[in-house]
Amino acid sequence: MLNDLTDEELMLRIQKGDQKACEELVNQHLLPLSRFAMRMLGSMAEAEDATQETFLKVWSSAHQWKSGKAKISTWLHTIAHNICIDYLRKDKSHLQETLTDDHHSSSHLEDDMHATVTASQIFNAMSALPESQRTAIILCYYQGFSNRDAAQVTGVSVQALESLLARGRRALKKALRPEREVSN
Amino acid sequence: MHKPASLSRFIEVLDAYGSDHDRWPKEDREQLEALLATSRHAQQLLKETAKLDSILDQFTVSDISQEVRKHVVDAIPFTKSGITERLLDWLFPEGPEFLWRPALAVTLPLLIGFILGLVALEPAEPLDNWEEDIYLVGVQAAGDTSL
Repeated sequence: MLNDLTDEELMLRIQKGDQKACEELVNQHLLPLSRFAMRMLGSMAEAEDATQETFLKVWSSAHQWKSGKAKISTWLHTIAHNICIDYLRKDKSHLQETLTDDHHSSSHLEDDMHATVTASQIFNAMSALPESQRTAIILCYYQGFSNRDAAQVTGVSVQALESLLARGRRALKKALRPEREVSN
Repeated sequence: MHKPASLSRFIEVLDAYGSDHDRWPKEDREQLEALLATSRHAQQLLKETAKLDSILDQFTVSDISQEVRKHVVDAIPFTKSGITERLLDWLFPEGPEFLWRPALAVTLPLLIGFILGLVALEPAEPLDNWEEDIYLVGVQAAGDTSL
């Protein structure tokens, strides 16, 4: 059965043009990749598109993957990360729109995320971070990546990653503190 | 029992990874936990860090639907990944380390053309004497019969 195969075995089959193996890879990695894209982009519609593009790229560039070089999840997140960055750069007004919409009760962000009071505030604080800090936090904190794997996706050393994480968390703490104080 | 980590390393890890032990780097975890077991200051710092974590934990996102999964699979052009596409992908991959491939694709036909040209321009071998004799006899015989 295909679901008994490791990611690496699936990729080797995909490289040979095995459609079913590709569908199985989608099954296994769709959720974590869509969550990553969702947290990066803040919009479910864009996250779906970015996730779809990620798997399109996996199929068309399967031959570029080399066995033993990187974990499949790391490779997939690297592709998704690059696609999300393209989205963010293409649509520089994206952030502004999200922030503006967020002040209204009908924000698409609130539709897309669980209706928690602070989810949109956290997203705004996250969006205000430099992209590298945001990616580092999403990978390590939310995606459960190890420091080495996250460093590989972001293309920095482990030390640099730790610095990005610390600066990012410090900025989040500062940005979210007033909300906490008000609520207390 | 592991040697406890230094307090400065403990702070670095809390600043970067937060209060959840599972997120701490594997190579540091046991030493950090050893410090935590003995240091009140470390325990206090952990509590402080957990406050930010509890806020970050509220940043949850909806899961993608099964319908979207179907769209993702349907969008993959499985039938199109034929030889031509794979050849093009091989010729023009991403990354500067593969620049030799398009260069090879351009120079190979030139090289083949050059070699073919050299072969074609070589002078034809002259006829051997016996071949020439047979030819002349043939011509003569033809002349005789026509008379």
